[in-house]
Amino acid sequence: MRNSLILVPFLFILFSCGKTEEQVCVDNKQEAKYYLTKSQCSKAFKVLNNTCESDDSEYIALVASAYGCQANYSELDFLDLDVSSINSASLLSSLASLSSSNETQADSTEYVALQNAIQTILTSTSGNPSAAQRNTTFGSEGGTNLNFQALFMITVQLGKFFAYYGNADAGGSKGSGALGNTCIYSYTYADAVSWITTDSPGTGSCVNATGGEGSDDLENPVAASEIKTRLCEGIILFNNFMDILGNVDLSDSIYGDLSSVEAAVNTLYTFQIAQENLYYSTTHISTVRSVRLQSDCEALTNEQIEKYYAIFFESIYL
Amino acid sequence: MKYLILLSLFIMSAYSTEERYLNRSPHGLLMGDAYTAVADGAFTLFYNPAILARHTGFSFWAINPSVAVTNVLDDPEKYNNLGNSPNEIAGVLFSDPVYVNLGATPGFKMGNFGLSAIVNYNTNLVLYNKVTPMLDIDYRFDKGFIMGYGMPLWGSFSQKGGGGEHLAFGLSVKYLQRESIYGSYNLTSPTLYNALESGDIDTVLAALGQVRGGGWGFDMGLDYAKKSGPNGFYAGLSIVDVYTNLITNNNDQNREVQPQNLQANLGLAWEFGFAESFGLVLSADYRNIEDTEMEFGKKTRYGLELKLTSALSVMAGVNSGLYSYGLRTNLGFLDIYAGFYGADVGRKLGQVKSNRGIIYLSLFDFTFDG
Repeated sequence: MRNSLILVPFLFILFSCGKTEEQVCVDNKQEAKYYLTKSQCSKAFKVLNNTCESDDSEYIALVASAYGCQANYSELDFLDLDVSSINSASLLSSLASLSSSNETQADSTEYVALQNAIQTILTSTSGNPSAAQRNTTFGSEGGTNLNFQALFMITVQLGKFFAYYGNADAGGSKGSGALGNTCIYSYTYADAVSWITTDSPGTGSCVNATGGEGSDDLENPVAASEIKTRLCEGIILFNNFMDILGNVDLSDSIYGDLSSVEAAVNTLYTFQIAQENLYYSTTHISTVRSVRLQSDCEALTNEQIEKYYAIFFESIYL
Repeated sequence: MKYLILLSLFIMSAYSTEERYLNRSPHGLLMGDAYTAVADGAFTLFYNPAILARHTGFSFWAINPSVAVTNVLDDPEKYNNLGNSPNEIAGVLFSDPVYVNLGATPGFKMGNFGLSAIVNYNTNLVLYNKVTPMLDIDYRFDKGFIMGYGMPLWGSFSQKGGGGEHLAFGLSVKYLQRESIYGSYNLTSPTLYNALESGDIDTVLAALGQVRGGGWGFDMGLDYAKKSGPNGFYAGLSIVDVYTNLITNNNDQNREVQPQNLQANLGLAWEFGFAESFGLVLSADYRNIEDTEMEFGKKTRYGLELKLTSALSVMAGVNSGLYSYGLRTNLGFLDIYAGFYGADVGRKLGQVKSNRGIIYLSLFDFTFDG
């Protein structure tokens, strides 16, 4: 009888042990890290599939990394090869000249994957995405990690976006590439046309607005909804880029000139908003610059989006 | 009966996770860590407390430090060509664990009772994720004690007294204080390098989120031993950390010390020998029985010890498919174990391998036969 009583606990333990969801999450994150080290993206996705809670910042970072893996994106490549090329005085041109700014078609597999990675982080909190909200939701360390991960990915994606739609050459100069367009977009609204053709003190190669100066991938026969989605991608990337820059510590030298970008761009904002107020009765830059969610951007009017591109992007991207 | 039901409800809430051992025997590690049925030395309480029932007399281990580190000799070229850029350096270090362990387990056995102190410093660093590099830090500094008792259920057996046969039950209780850093740190986010630049080692550890905690736990095991003439057969079933509850002290970042999760291990060993001067031990372990997802190959351990003389033994083993080998020499006042072993530290078999070297010294240990 005594021996049987002693054996009972062993049997209970051996047959009752199972993993909690938290344990499964920890195990799967560990395995995903291994796959991401070996660039086995689909295996990483497979083990990460809905295995952790949505408030787990490491899990979100790993899902974003799995998309980044599909995009052949490497944070170390960016910091090693490209961050030193970023110049706050000519931000968009310098981004368009990065080694990763090499898109040859709209919405390439790599571009879409990196966009998904960025959106994974941006939509990890509800409402208008913000670096401050990520810090609140995930804590200082988790939020900071996600903010830096998003910052580097957005920086690379902005380079891809403006290099392709702005038809940049290898040096990042707008309208100088092989695609033919001299502007990002073919402007049609009166204020945007007036800015490009008359009012602007300088928009680089973009000096006409007859309806055909923009990227072929941002005009008919591409569906209007697709065009808006693409234009909003640029806005969302840039606005979140600025939001993160204003909420992280970039004092270390490894971040290059990124630490100067926020102040430089805010000066440009101030100037362009003043110009918009000077020339036009309806103003939009202040509204559009605060939108950081893709669906919110797509709810804006075409005029708002067009004017933001004409007065702001075309003016700071030369 | 109602106590059994309560016990079963309590036990049903126990669960398992990745392997995190409180302590390992250097002798066992050099035998592929196939040691659950063999552990009759200073490390019994860390493998199977029921083995205490084999012990007679009084044994004492006063000074027995061990050091284990990543074996850089395994591939020296790799570390000679780290490269110049962060990218090149990281490329070499990805999935290549850096391991440091310092420990000592002074203790004694008196009859079927045993007590060991726990002083164990353990650090594992692994760099993962080529997309957004993450440094996994698993640092622990454990202090405490463990004590246990082995009780024969039937039969009679004596390790030194000519053998016999028994089935024994063992129970051990432990108290642990743990300082730990446990987390994944983005390599390019300021948290890690701000911490590393923050000053002295205490400040660095605090900045990385060092927390402290402590608590009690217990283990239990069964041991079957039969020895007749030169032949001995041993089987052990142990459940370590049946319930070990480490409570983390309050901290700003709500971090937790690493838990010690339940592990159920089965071991078998066959011994053939003439006294201590010449003999052979073959052993096998099947680990983490409780983990239904772990692959069979990752759970298995095989070991061999060849006792050439009373002063010299050679050991070899296979631990989750990774080889180990080493020597033991006994100089009377000094017992030395040294060798190399591999540890599979990834989630799946063969994913992340850690090659390590270990040396263990035991000074002035002695046994009085009862």
